[in-house]
Amino acid sequence: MARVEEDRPTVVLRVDEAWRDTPTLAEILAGLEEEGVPSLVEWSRGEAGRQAQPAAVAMAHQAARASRLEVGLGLDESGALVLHQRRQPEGSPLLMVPGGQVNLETARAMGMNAARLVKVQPLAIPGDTQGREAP
Amino acid sequence: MLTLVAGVDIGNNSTEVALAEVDLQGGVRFLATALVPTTGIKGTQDNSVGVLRGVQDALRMAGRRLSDLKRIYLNEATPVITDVAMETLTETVITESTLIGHNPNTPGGVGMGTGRIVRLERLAELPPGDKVIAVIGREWQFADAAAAINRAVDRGVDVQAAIAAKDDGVLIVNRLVRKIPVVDEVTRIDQVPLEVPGAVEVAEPGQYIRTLSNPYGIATLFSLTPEETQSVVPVARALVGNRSAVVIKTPKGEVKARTIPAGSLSIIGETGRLDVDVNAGAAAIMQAVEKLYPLKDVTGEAGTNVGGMMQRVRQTMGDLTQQPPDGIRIQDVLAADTFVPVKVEGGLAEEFSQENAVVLAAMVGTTRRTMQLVAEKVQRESGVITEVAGREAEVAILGALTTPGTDTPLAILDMGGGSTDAALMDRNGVVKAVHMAGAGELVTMLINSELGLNDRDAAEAIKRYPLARSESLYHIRLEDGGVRFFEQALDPKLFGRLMLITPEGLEPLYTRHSLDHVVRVRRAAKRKVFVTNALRALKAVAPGGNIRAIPFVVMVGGSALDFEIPGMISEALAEYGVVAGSGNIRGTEGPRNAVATGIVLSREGTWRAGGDR
Repeated sequence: MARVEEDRPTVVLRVDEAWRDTPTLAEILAGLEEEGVPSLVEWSRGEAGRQAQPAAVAMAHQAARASRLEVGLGLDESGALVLHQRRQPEGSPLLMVPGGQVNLETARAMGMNAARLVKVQPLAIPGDTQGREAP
Repeated sequence: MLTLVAGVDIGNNSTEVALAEVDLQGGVRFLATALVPTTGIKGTQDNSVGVLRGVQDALRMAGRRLSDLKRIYLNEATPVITDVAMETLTETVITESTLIGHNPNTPGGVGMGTGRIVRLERLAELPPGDKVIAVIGREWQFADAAAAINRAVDRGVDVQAAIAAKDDGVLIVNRLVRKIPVVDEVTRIDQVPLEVPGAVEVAEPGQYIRTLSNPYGIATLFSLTPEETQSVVPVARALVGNRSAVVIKTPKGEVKARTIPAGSLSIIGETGRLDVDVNAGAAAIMQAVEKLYPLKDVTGEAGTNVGGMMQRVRQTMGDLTQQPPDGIRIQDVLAADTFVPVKVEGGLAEEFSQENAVVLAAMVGTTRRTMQLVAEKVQRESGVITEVAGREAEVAILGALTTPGTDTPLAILDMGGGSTDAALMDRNGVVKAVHMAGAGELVTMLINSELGLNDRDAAEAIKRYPLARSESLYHIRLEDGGVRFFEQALDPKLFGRLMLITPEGLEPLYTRHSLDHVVRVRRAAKRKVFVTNALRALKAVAPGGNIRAIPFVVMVGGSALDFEIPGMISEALAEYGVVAGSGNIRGTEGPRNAVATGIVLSREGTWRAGGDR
């Protein structure tokens, strides 16, 4: 059974245990589901960031490497939420919501963006991710 | 003894300079070419700033000083100015909202559902067997909404479909025991009428709805009479091409597509006058124009939309030329049929309907005194003797003739921003010239309105640059099917979007239109204006109105630099056996600088090919 699960094409989320059974995680997953893209959650605990990067960056890249769809999300203990793609260098995530700034709306939007990255559809970019303008 | 002179062409958008040295035998050698934006409206004294800037640029390139310059020659401006205007001819009005025809990205479920419309809160009170459509307000969480529907269905209530406020149609359907179609993202959910019959249709991804976009489909669902069926035609029409839709039958509600009485246009020529109803379309207007050409004036019926439109044109023209609006005589019009996406009055989810419209470009003559004033100002400010030189059409042909491979008789097509001009020079050097209303500005207006952009700059960019769509983070598909790869990931704002390939890089285009649609609209706009005007203008200058009698056509002006307009015109003219192509002034300048070059040649002598620096 575990093998079948791993072979499924999914967007992988690497999520800190602190976020288990939270509305934030539920909204991220809802964003993916509404867009019709399957997802898989991997749990981690207390990963530390490197070189001023939040842990979510490395977590998202690890998730993207594990994803057959090459797309990963990372949500670390601090609440930093990162969207990554396998072929990107680890240090250059596509979108990032800094720790403490994630809310239900941005959580849903990031889930949708992960799905849209798979589907090659325009991303909804909120103003507070790396200072990029919303369309 | 060599004399240094500059020829200057002030255009609607750009000012061009040709700097040349003339020997005692009248041999002309060109030293430098400059291109700067025109300052102020063409023909006004504000132009002098741009003229001086351009002349200085050219002098700097040639390593000369202003004190070396003996003469500045200005073009005698094309004696016309143009304006464009648009008027919608139809409108769709929804009284007592009856349709929701929008296209949410991800509606839920698939299929058709019909029933009485009720709020989700009321499901618990309904008896088994009741056939209903549930309205799910913004306050509902998707899981709770799905649970409420499941409980009702469990009791035997026949919940056929749902209409949801938020973007969670898929989430709701995924949690239902019995799957139903759900249209979501209905912004004005409170306005959905309750306790009336309705129908919801959602098509498979990649498919279009079939029942609600068919008048007989709607008639079948609501048991309509033949008269009622007639009245739902605009509903069905508005829903064609959607993936999902809701139609609601209200007692008095109706969707009306009405024709706005646009009024008639009076075309007045030397030989007579024709009144054309604008609702008859562009073809009828242009037929009348062709019949009566050359025109003395064009007026709109007072008290009608077209009357108001022509009045606005006269007002603008009057302001520009400092003449009373009543004294303005319109010498040409170009009409084109178009359509405009208009937000439906009374719609519930920002529905748009495609309304028919007509655009008109109008042209009036101006007095020639204006350029003289510009010349006097340039002379005061530069200290160099400045003259208005040569008829524009004649000098443009002299410039165009420096294109390798050309000879008289030769016609030029000067395609600018406001007007499309043609001139023909026969073997004896006699020149005949015409000006036609409509050029680049009109193309921009058509693109802007047909794509519903409300953004003139975006429309201008679409006109100028080829399109592409990103297909992954690392490659884009070009509009011709080619592919470009990147080593660095694309900016996320470009991802999945259409973009324009501009000299400054890739620019995202915020639109839900497909690449094919944008390309189709762009090309159709260019054809409607430039191909139509090229044929009209060449017919007007050709001997006996016969385009076949012109062996060479050289395209010059800003729009001759366009990446597809010259090709479209060449193709259209190939049918007449005419050699047509973009000019290559002096063999080096492309379609630019024809007038500036021609002015110098008309005043100073002959160009010696190969003598330029």
